[in-house]
Amino acid sequence: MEITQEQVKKTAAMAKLRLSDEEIESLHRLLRELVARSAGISLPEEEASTAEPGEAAAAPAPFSRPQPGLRQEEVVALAPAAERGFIRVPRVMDHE
Amino acid sequence: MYEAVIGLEVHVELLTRTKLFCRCSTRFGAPPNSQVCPVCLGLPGALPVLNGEAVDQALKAAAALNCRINRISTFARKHYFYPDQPKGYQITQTRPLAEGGRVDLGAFQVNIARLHLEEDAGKSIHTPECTLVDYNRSGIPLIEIVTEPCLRTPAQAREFLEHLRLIMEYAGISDCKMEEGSLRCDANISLRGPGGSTAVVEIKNLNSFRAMERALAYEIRRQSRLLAQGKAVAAQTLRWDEAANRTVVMRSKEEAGGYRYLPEPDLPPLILDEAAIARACRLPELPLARKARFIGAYGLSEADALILIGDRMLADWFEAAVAAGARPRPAANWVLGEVARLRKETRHLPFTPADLARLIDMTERGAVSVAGAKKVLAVLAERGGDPEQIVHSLGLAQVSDREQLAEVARQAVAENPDAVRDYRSGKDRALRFLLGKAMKLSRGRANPQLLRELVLQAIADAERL
Repeated sequence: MEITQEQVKKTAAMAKLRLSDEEIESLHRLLRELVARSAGISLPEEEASTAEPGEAAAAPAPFSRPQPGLRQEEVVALAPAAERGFIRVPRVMDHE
Repeated sequence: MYEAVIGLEVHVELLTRTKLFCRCSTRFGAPPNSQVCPVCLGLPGALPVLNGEAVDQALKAAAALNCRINRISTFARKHYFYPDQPKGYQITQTRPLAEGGRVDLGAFQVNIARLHLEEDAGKSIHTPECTLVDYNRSGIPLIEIVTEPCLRTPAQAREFLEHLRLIMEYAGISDCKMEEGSLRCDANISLRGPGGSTAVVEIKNLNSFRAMERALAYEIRRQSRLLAQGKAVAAQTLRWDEAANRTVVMRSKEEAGGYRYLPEPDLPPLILDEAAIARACRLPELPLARKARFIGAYGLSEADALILIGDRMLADWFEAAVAAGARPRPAANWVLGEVARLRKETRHLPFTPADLARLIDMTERGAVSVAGAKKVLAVLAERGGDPEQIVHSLGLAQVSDREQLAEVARQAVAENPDAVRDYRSGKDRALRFLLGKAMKLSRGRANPQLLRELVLQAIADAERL
């Protein structure tokens, strides 16, 4: 699969990243290398088609009771900004 | 003339105690960001483990929708960047858990293209200044049900979605509370005519049945107008603006490639054995089967049975009242009338179907009038209690004593000579007036059938005098 500069620009736009021409060029080169290296790796989906029950598959966990995770203060401490227990981010309502 | 081509994508939150890939609680209404862990926050190094309870629920949904269950399904990462998606991708399925289902609604059939498991995103609250994100919902197990584009009208789409909700509720798969987001719907719509089809437009986040129906009707009008003007319909993602009563453009429609699906390397394929699939196919009675039973076993009308099964709590109430001894038809009338009304007013009913059965029995024995029984039910709804005791404490015991009521009837006739004259001259309304007067004199406690007989007797006697 050939990676084009247009694809890099489109992906950057979807990720809401504004890139310079130099950055696009650099990412384009890196992505082409990545795709070329991963081209020979077989995908799990292909392996699955011949799999038998119990092979290459983890049994779903029989979860019974919820367990506590992180505390709210620990979560908001990970964020650049917070407000009343929520993570605060710049307004992202889609444009109309 | 154009024909609408409508398909739905329905997201249903599964009733599980824990999230899809971690052990965080799924309880609704907890303080923001208090039910999260490194897995559902996508922190580095965290690894997902598939929740077996969610798989069982999804399999049950697949069986209830008559889908073909795939013995092997696979997970994938669907990439998009939005603050409610902490990992930068959503774990979904590319080879779905189930395909090729159908829901038969009598007048039309809806074909299910696919049903797959995926995780929910967090919840965003948009304020004028910023967006606030709560990740409690992040990782809650969902099934996405995708229909074929086989619906032709907004009314069909609504009927299907309402029925789908019932199936999910009856099978115990989801509580389907649209107001809490546990049932959400996106709709795809295009118009098809002699010259071909318009581009497909997606309307997202339709959060009520009414919103879905109105949004689709609006789109049909809008696209028809564009075609009449010779303009093209753009492939867009829209949202429904309830206040403005119109669809609004969110963005140009994303192609599948835009999401850069990749196989999820941290989750092996889900391989199901026959026992798991057979277990999923053991379903409780579903809504249409219950409707048929209500008609066949209890002699209810199609209309009453349809309304009852549409509200599971009322249907359960009806069956419990019948089991407690009430005759089915009066039980259905009381449940669909007074019980439904009182529940709407009070939300919680502190009396039981057995109380209702006793009250119905009292009305049928003539121990209390229907009007009196409604007053008793109102008291029961307010504070509970014993129906017989309430009848007595409110002085509502119906009077069926012939002598006592004959005196009341004679008094009503004697005090209203004009009405008696009108009745004799052929005015039926005058009899209703006299019955009302007599009932008032009995303080509403007279047995109405006996009172009518005695008022007519009193009129005849007065004529002879």
